[in-house]
Amino acid sequence: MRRAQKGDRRAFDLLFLRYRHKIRGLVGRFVRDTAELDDVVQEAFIKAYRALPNFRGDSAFYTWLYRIAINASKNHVAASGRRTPTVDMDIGTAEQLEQTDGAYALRDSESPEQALRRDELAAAIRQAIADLPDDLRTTVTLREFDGLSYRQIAEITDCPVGTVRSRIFRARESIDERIRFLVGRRRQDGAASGMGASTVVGDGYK
Amino acid sequence: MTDKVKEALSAIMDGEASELETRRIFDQIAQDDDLRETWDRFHLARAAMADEPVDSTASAEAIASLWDAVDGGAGEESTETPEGAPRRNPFGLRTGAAVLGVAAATVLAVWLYPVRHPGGMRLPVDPVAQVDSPATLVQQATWESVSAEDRARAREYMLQHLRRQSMANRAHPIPIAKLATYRPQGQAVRNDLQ
Repeated sequence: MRRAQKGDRRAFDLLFLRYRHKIRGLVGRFVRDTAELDDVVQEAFIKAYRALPNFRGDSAFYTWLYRIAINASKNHVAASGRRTPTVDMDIGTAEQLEQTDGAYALRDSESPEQALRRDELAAAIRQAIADLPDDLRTTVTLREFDGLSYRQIAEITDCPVGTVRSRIFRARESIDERIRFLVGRRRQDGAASGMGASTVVGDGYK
Repeated sequence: MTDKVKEALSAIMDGEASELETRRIFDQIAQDDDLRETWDRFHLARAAMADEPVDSTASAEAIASLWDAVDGGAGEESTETPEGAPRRNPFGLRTGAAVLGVAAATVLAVWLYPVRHPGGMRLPVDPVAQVDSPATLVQQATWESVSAEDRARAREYMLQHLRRQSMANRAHPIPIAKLATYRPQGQAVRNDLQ
């Protein structure tokens, strides 16, 4: 952190790597369109990079970054409200989205292609989970779908925390084997066509 | 890349790794493309399970894009700090209060010093030299002991100072120099010597 504050880009790369996905998950609650989501995430990190010399460590870095990302998301949603919606949405769907995120309801929606990619990826992952041995399936489900901590899972499954950690990793590894080639193929396709990876990512599923 | 390292990655994702382990792994991630891609895919799978928009861009590309944007000047105008974070206002409330305190104390010193010397003899007043600290001056005289005319003059002076200070949006020069000459016309400080 201190090195990054002094302008060391490689040090900031590590912060980016570490928090990018978390921030993306956060921003994803506000912005559904993948391209716009990536823009907002990048904007948040740029703001953080610019403001980093002023960060005094009064709060944890992630808390500080989290606030920047929330502000960037809110600004994006506010700006989106002034634009013509790019996706038709019936009133029922709109109300549902309003309820989902309260005051900061989603203004952008995934395109049908993006939704298809995500659904297909989710289907592949569900199948991978279904094929897992019982102990791995139970453990990873408690973690990913119920959000339990390792300790809580250890109590429920009556095994040491270290075993929980190992099982979750093995489950992820197994899922990863199912999706690895798909992700790799999509990225290769993207590079070959000269398109950004974010544009091409789901093409392998079409 | 060993399974042990990947297991640590998995634990970091869940916030179940120690800070030491996290730092060690991230040092490796910076130098290991496979490890970085595994990290990305683990998150991609999680996003899909959570019904979130899936992350399609590899971290390496995202980093390159980030620096391109930074070098292109993106966000340069942004100096904002997040809500709730302390702002580094060069002339914040505390500094303003301190300047105001010094100004008030100095005003009091200039007007009150002769009163404290019976016989009405006015000494050569050097406001700067006379001021030990605002606290000392507050002990020397209270606001109530100042005449209404002098109080009004002091208020007016401080208001002027604050107005200039807020317009300039930076630390206004402490008004001691001006104070030495702030007297009704024909009644300059040096005249007090007579």
